[in-house]
Amino acid sequence: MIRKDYGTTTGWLGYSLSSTKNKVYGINNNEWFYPRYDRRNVINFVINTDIVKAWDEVFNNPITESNSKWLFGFNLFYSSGQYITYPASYYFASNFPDNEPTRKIYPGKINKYRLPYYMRVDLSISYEKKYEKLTTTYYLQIFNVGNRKNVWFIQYNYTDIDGNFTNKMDTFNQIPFLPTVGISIKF
Amino acid sequence: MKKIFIIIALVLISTILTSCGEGKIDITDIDYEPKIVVEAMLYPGENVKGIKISRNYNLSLSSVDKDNIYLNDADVTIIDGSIRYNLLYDAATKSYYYTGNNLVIGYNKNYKIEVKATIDGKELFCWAETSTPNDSLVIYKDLSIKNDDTVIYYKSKLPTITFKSISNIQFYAIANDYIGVADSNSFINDNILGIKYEDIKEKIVDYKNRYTWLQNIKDINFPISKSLDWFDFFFYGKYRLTIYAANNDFQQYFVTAQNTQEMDGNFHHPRTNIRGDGLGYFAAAKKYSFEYLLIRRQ
Repeated sequence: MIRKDYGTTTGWLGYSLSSTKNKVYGINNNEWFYPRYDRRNVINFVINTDIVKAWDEVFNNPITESNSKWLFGFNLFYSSGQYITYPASYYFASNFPDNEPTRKIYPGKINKYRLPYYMRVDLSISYEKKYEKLTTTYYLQIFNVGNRKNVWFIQYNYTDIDGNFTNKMDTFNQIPFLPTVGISIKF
Repeated sequence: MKKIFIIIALVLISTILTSCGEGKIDITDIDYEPKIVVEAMLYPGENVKGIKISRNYNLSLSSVDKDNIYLNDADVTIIDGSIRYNLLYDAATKSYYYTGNNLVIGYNKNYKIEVKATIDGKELFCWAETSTPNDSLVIYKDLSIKNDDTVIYYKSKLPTITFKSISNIQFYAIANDYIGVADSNSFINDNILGIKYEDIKEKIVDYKNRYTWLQNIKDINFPISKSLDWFDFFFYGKYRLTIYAANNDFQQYFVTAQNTQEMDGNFHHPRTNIRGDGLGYFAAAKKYSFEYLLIRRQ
């Protein structure tokens, strides 16, 4: 991790590389498999800056102290997609010995596939003003600025029309482009 | 300083642009392996019969002849101790049975099954062991629904079954099966869940065959009663209520195989005691059935 805690611009950049495997008796034909929480690569990048001060520094303007400031925030989060088990075959079996058979799904190897990678950029801009006894901050935050459709989970379904099956995979996404506004008061 | 500022700004802008788009899912290499599907239940005090052997199909296969899903050329053997009993296929019931009278399933005994079959040109072999209940299932007939009873929908007392638990059985499944003709004429239009017939036509079997169960029944020396609910009924006509006092080999498969897809979309394998190239169950139970009539309330 690289971190800067002081100055006009602060933030950090972190990266992790990890791998986990499980083996459980009676699961996955007793073979090793990756658990869902295995995230091979994770990148976290955060920047916070005082916009006016940063501008003055860049263009060599005289820096003046003030009891108000404009703040800009940038947050990037990236991680490898989580592992997932997909259906691989189907069979017909009864719930009870005397019942009619119904179609049942049999999955493939546990967590053999990965969902697409997860990536999200959040931006924020806020105006902070200090008064004698309190500090007010007005902010606009935008989650998922790029409106990336990060897959949260999949839902498998099928239709059966006169014995002809059509498979269907629906994806459900995580947070969309989400702006929020607010005010905080510290006293 | 200006150059660094411009570089940083460009990096942030390009990062924002690459955070657009969508993750795509495309299953191209389906992880299919052929398996023998075994549905075998032994009943103490009875001969061996009704053992169904079928197979699984690649998910990409869009149609299957549902009238020919059972294998008629598998090699099925029941093993009692060191004695092997080969089963024959009955085309009428599409299941395997033992022809002789010298294999009556005993109480509190262990049995093994072995199945060999060729599927997709591959020779497959699977086996399993199971233990039978150590006693009969006692039904308290005065406290249970009776054969040929008539039940008035949403008016009569709900069909109930009262029984004494078996000491080595903790799982009791109750199946309520509609055995009449399931169509729009027999459908209960004002059913308690407000479901329309058109919405269930495709998966009508799920609404004909309803079930509930009791589990973790241990050390109970008093009668146990279980009633159905009105949302277990979608058709007027004849029903068969069956209680299965089944061992753990059936319970683990039954509870996990109904729906292998979890709420978050991920899948789990059904628990099975079938080893090798198979799935399903080889289990033992005692069962008891009643038939009754459900009629419309006036």
